[in-house]
Amino acid sequence: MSSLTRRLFLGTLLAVVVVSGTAFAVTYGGSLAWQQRDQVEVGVSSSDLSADATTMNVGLTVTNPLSRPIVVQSISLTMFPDGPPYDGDKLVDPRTATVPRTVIDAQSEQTVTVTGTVKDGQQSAAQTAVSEGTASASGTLTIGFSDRTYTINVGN
Amino acid sequence: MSGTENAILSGLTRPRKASYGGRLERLVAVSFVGVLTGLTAAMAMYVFRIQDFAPGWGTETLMASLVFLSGLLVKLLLGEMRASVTAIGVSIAIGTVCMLTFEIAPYYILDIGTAGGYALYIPLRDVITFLLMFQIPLQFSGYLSAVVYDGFRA
Repeated sequence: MSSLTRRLFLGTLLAVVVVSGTAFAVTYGGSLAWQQRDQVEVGVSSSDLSADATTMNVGLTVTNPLSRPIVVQSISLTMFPDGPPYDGDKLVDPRTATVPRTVIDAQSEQTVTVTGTVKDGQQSAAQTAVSEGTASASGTLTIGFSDRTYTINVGN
Repeated sequence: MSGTENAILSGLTRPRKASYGGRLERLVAVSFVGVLTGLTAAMAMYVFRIQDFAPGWGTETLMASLVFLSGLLVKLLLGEMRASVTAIGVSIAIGTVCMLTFEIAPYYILDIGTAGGYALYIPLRDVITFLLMFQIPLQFSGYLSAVVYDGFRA
């Protein structure tokens, strides 16, 4: 066969190896990061109450040590007036907790603010808990990673 | 020895002619083509299977065509029939080993518990399914298409 055809076939082989190798490297990196997703940490950095004690704002610091960015998608959070074991009533309705959709870059950390509505009748208990510094947050944060999602426990 | 060096060089750069040549030439050509195509097929099938983390351009269609192409290239690069049959066998074997390694390796590299191997059952089931349903048929049809093409042109 002609040397042009020979080079064409060898060139195609190398091109095929390079294309599949590149796609594989990207995919495998993502897969490895997904298998280390438990290294993402969430810590409660602040909690305060609005002036009329109807809205609670909780600051969460999310640390992303992975090689890919993650997206903070949704939250289900409540506040207890004491630390664990959680004996007291819930101060915040978990279904009202919202968090802005935030992208956290690879190997960085960011603080997101969760806002929740204080339950009816719990305003004074919330004010006491926050002023005494005993209020503790507990809930689950939903994190998106590429097309998959998983949840992290917050607080305890 | 220049004879050996020539044989190796010939196997790597002129595999088609080398497949009709002496023992060392044939060995080099068959190993070179078989290993590269097998590795390509395994890598493309991994992207085909795990589409969640694939780059935007790494679609299923593209990856499946790469696997087909890798089978096609086995015959186009090795003219002699018996050498090409050996090479497709090597390619499929290497592809299988690579597919299994890609799946199992993270568990040992990242030190993820496998519960004595039980946690690997489901990923391995997926790997074997994709091997039997996609990788091997696609590669082999590529190979057979090239055989037909070669025979047509003879």
